Formats: sequence, structure tokens, C-alpha cells
Amino acid sequence: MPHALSMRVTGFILSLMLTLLGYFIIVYPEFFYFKAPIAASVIFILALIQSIVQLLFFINIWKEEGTLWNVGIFISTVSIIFIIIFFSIWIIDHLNYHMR
Amino acid sequence: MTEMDEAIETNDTKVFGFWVYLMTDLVIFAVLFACYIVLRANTYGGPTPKELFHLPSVLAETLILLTSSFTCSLGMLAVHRQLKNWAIAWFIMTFLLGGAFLCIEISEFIEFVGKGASWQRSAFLSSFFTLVGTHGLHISFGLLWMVVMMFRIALRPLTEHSVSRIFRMALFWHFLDFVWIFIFTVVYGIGYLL
Repeated sequence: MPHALSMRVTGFILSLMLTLLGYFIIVYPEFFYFKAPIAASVIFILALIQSIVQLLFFINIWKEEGTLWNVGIFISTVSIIFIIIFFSIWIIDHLNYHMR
Repeated sequence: MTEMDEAIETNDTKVFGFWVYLMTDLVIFAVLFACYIVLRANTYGGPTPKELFHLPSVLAETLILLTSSFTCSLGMLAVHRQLKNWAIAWFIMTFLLGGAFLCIEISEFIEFVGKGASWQRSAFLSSFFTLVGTHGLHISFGLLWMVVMMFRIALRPLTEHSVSRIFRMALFWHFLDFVWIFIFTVVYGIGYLL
């Protein structure tokens, strides 16, 4: 399975690069001319790319054959997670704003 | 359908069932993340994330966990090729890396508590310890499971059924790496920046 091995190696190198880039943005945001909120959104986008790398290269979510039920349940879980996190932040920020 | 096909079919169902469990676990982590993000600023006069976090050790933890995920996938490839010794060697490496990760995390927790930044200090610290501690607990169970699987590889033949069990353990390990990416970014990264 040389193809499977090269996929793992590619995934590993990509994930290391993304982690190191994220780390340097956290420690030296001024080097990239980033203000803190922009740096925070950039590293979050890097984390999303990193998670896709992990899903494709290590977890192997996308099977060439058979059904894709695992992808379906993953997407529905991601939407539940989005609802929980986004609306928690939204509601609590609103409460915080009105109680000031 | 031959007997072999049937074995593959039921193992696929088991892997899918395990995947459903992992997704519910992801929801638990999502709730803890939401809790942390909401309570992050409530330090009650205690240490802020920026004062507390020591980023180089967090980077070390991240690199160790990424490498362990890689060695785990190599172990799984060896299992698929029926190479028992290679599989055990890669899983021992994964186990050692996971153990190193856990040691760094525990020493970090001990240091925080020693500085008076325990989970009782502020809402920020309660949510921090709950989220990172839950992940650490999952890592400990993953390590235990890995030991059991190494004995299984050593003592039993690698049948379709065995391979499926080992595959589920590897899936669990990759899943923990997946969750840690977000802990690294959201808890440590964004906590440090904002």
C-alpha cells in the first residue's frame, strides 16, 4: 500500500506546517502585521484547515466505495455543534450587554 | 454472501456504531468549548489566560500528539499488511508519545495549582480544567485501550474481527488528536491573543 503510506506522510507534513504557522501567529502577531482579533480569526481558519487534513488523511472519512453514512452523521454533528457554540456566545453576549 | 463478506459487513456496522459514539463525544466537547468561550473573561481577579499559559510546552504537546497520530496510522497500515512486529513497534511508539503528552499536561496542571490557579479560583479556570481535563481523561483511556490491543496483536491471530477492533482504537486516537487541534487553537491560542 505505497499510496496509503504516502497519504499519511503528506498529511503529517501538512499538519506540522499548519501547527507551526499557527504557533508563530499566536506568539508574534506583529510580525504578520495582524491585530489580535484578526490573528485570532486567522488561527481559527488554520485550525479548520488542519481538521480537514486530519479527517481526510488520517481518519479517512471519505471512502471510495460503500455508503457515506459516516460523512452524513458527521455533517449533522457539526451543525449541532455550530448551533450550541454560536448561539451560546450570542445569547450570553446579549445578556452581558444588557446587564452592564 | 460468503462467510468472509458477512464478517466484513458486521465489522463495518461496528465501526459505524463506534463512529456514532465518537460524534456524541464530539457534542460533549462542544458543550465544554461553549462553556469555556463564554466564561473565558470571568477571571474574578485571578490570573488571566495570558498570564497563565506557557505556550512552548503547549506547542510541544501539540507536536507530540500529531506525531503519535501519525505513528498510530503507520501501526494500522502494518496491521492491514499482517506485519505483527511492526504494528507493535509503531503502537509502542504511539503509547510512549501519548504518555509524554499526558506527563506534560499533568505537570502543567500541578504547576497551575501550585501557583494558586486551581479550578476553584475563577469561572475561567473551572471551565479550563473541565475542558482540558476531559480531553486528558480520554487520552488516559486511549492509552489503556492501546495496551490491551498490543497484547491482542501479540497473542492472537490478526483475523478480520481483530483488525476491526484495532481499527476502532486507532480511530479513537485520531479523534482525540482532532479535538486537541481545537483546544490548542481556541483555549490556548485565542485565549492568549484576546
